[in-house]
Amino acid sequence: MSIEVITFSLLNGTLYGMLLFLLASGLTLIFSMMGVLNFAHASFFMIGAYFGFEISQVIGFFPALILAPILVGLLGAFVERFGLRRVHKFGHLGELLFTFGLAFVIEEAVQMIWGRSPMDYQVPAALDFTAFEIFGTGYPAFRLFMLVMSIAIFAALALLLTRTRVGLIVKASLTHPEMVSMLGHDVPLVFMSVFGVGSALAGVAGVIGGPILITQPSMAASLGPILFVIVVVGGLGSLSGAFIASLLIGFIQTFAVAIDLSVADVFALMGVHEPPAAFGPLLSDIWTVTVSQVGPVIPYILLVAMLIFRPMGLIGKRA
Amino acid sequence: MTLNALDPHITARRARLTQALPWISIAFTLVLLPMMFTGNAMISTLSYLGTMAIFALSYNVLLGQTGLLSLGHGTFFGLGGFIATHAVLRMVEAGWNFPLPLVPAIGGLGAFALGLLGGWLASSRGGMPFAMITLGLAELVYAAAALFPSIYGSEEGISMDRMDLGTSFGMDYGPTLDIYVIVAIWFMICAALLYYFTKTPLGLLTNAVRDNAERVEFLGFSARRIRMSAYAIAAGIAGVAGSLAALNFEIITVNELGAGTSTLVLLMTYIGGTRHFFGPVLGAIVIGLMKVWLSDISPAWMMYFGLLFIFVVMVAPGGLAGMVVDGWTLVRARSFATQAPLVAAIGIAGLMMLFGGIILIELGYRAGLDAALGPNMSVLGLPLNVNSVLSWGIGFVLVGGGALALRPLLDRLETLRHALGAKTQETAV
Repeated sequence: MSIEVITFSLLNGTLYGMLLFLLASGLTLIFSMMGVLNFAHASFFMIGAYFGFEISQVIGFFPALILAPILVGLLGAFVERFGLRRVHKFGHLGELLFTFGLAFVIEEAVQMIWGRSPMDYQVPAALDFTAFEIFGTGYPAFRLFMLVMSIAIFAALALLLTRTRVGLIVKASLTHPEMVSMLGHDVPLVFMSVFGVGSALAGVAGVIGGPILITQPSMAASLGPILFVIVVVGGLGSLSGAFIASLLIGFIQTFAVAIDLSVADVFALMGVHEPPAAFGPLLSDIWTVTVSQVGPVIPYILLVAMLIFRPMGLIGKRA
Repeated sequence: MTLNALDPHITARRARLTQALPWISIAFTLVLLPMMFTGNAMISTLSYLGTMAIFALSYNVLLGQTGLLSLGHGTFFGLGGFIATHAVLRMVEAGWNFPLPLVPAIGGLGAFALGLLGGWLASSRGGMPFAMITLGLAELVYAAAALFPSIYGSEEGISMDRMDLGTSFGMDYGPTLDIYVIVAIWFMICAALLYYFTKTPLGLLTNAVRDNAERVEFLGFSARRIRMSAYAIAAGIAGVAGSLAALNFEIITVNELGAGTSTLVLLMTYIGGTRHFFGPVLGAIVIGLMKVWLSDISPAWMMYFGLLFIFVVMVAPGGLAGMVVDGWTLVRARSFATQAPLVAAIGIAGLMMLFGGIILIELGYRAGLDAALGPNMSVLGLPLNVNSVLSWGIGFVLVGGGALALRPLLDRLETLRHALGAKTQETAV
């Protein structure tokens, strides 16, 4: 593996990891609040991408970057107020199943409105140039823009939660809702806002991720499980854990694609060039497996291993 | 009635009779159905429904009985199907004359063994962690299946010919009716086994784990081992269902292992009702019929399916079976006459909303996904046009009007029931 591949994989891995963190942060906040993972979170990401596409067709990409997340956030707040709050009385299972059904319906609704084929969501012309060149290969400006955006939002969120009064009230509402409510704050409103802001963050990720990851109805279903891996591996309810896990998964997935090595190559180093015929077709399957093929499996192995050996996650406090 | 209650023999006999009644009627229906619906496509649909009913019953061992939300139950359906398919292929290769109706037992046992392994990994805790591990395991198996094309086939899956094993029990398994017979018998076997399981000490312990796992641990039982047993049993029965599906369609693909199957069984079971033994069967039949028939008439059947699920989650957590039982209790209640007008009004308002909702959804599909079919359409006999304000207006007015009417009606019903309840209590005192 050359230094060039490593540099680009590092850049892309950071980028993908930060994008994942935009989603995982909202999911983590919502989890701390409800005690339940929101299955529809990746669906809000998808809606963000579609809204971003539609709005950028009409008034351009940068207004869409502001408007689409606001719309997604309002939608999220609406869902919390008129959906989740009502099923709360049926306990965690009810809430979980509600978000599960919601994800199902959103995927259908997206197909109903926009059809089943991918949207032609392009990188905006203003950002469609090469930002810098290393090792003779250019790095697209839009990717750099995504990276900067994600880091800026991460910083803003961290400052908001740790340095402001709003952050204090939110954090207190998550852990001691009764006491906060005694002090005169409207806790249900805080929850609704957190849900809305979490959804809006997913919307931002959708708008900037849409042109790079393909904008299509299956994008939520393919990203959703990865998000759960991140929040569980990072430790449920831990923002810093989610941050580390996002980057970890980002690196794993980009590096796995970059490494072009198969089981056969490993054995070739030892001088074995043909699979022993005695073991039948199963071994010849394994023989041709490459690292990039194993890539999609690694996050789930990580998830299962983590839940068995360290159920509280990397940084989590509770199992 | 009061007299009978005093005689324990008569009560016991009556109780046994009421218990046996559903079983007798189900067996009777299973025999009657293929006589009423002849034709290959129809019989094949019936076999499919039976398979799904077994699958849903197996899932309820986890969801209803043990209180575990598994997001990867489809894995065992698919794995059972693959095991059965490979078993048939190998036995044909070896020239054995193994009776085909017993093949699902192989798929079931294989899935049971894999379920023990999966359960050992997944069941140390219930709730959220359990759901996450099952999701992770299912995604793991699905993603890993792509690495082994010799086992799981590639895109087109693995196919077999069920007639290759030769005749047994006087059937050659060519006609779809033979498969229906196999499915029907396996349905009765699986349902009886699972029903018996709910009465065993282990089955009762699974209920205890659902209600209070900590207390079960204090009593000296291992909640983990109980969860694991429930998981393995559910996996085994799901494997039987998967094998039957493989025999019915003579092909199995990696998709059967995927998230789609796991979602389907969760939705089916919950919509049917997890609190009654036969609830999942009801759900499987309703959803199976929706899938077979509704998908022919409407592009929106998946949407209806999802909305029905959300409706059940939000309004009727007892599912369809719960609604049937509640309705029956209401009809038998002494205050039925006082409640009936309000209930009827609520029903009408609900139907209005339903009709309006159907109009809006169908218009939505025609405006978006199916725009190529032209703007004119007819929904339940009502001619509609995608471009006309009137068509959309009818839908919105029906939904909005129904919703506005429903609110005060529901409040009134609650007040009435409250008053009735207070009165009954007073008389009791």
